[in-house]
Amino acid sequence: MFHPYALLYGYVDEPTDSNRAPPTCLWSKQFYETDLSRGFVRGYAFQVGRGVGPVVEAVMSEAKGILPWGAEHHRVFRRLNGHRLSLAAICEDLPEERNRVTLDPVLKDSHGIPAPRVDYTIGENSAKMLEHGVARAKEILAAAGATDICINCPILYGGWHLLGTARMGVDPKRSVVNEWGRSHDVKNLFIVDGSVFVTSGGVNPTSTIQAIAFYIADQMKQRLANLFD
Amino acid sequence: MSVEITLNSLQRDDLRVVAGMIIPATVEYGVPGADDATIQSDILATLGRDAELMRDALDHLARLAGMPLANLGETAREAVATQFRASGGPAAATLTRVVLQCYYRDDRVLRSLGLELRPPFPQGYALEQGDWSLLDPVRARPPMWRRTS
Repeated sequence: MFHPYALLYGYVDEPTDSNRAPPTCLWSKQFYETDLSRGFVRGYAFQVGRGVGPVVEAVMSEAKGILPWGAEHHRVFRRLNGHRLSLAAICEDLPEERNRVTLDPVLKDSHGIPAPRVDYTIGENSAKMLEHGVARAKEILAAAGATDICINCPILYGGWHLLGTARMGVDPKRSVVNEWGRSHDVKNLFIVDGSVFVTSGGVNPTSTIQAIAFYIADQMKQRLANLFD
Repeated sequence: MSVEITLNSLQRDDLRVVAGMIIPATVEYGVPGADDATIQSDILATLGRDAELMRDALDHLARLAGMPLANLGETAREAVATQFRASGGPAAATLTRVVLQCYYRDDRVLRSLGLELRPPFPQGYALEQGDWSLLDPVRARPPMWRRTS
């Protein structure tokens, strides 16, 4: 699982302090929990951003075609820079059978060890979630009076949260590690990272990974006498 | 900063001209163009892993122009630039990104934008407080999250 992201931003008349504070300044969980009337299960968090510094603003806006070359460049840049309002929907991805990491049948490293092969496509549930997030973000930006709305859905560089593939659970047929992090198949193997997530969650995963690490370490400590039985 | 020359003189000339087309100098805001000598030096000194795509971009530009860009008239230069942006792919995008990133970290440019010449952290900034009462309706409504057991 990854986190499919929809990123929308626009520009408002008011200064947004883009270069003066952390970019992400507000979170909303309004659409985080399941509401079947939306057409999908689970949900997403909105990260509201106050914009970016001048280099990123210039590079992104030129690539989007809203920052021109030539004489108009300076006037347009001064209207955009420090006035960006962004919303990112970070979607809770679900495990999909076809999304997996396997050994590549052809590609090997210099020692002949097969390379990992990652197969991933955004599932129907996540696609509907992204669509919902885009629609809500458009409404919010319109209500804020934003112009020059830019839509990146999904963001193409968003595969940075690598989660799942070794899910935690009590049933060896449906999970890779047990409820305290030990592999069902290999008794002296513990997996302590985002691989054991059962869904991706709709938030940045570091805090949850840290909590799982504490939990599994504590479980190991309590079971030291028969840890590998 | 050590200066590593990775472009030949023709490529450097074309880079200077096209950079000035992307961001020309302006009296109105009192800033140099991206063809300014200091900004050009910064570009050359920090090309790093962008050097190969930058060379590809400048080779493509040279093919489109058929001669040094500076020798073309303004209309012909504009036509070449339009074609370059349309057909240059990742190499043209890299050239543009490198020009923009070096321009918008220049002290003179940052001053003209009203920015202090320092990163926001660790010193930070004191921001004016917004209207926190906007959140009152949010605080008043019931939780939309599940309680953990």
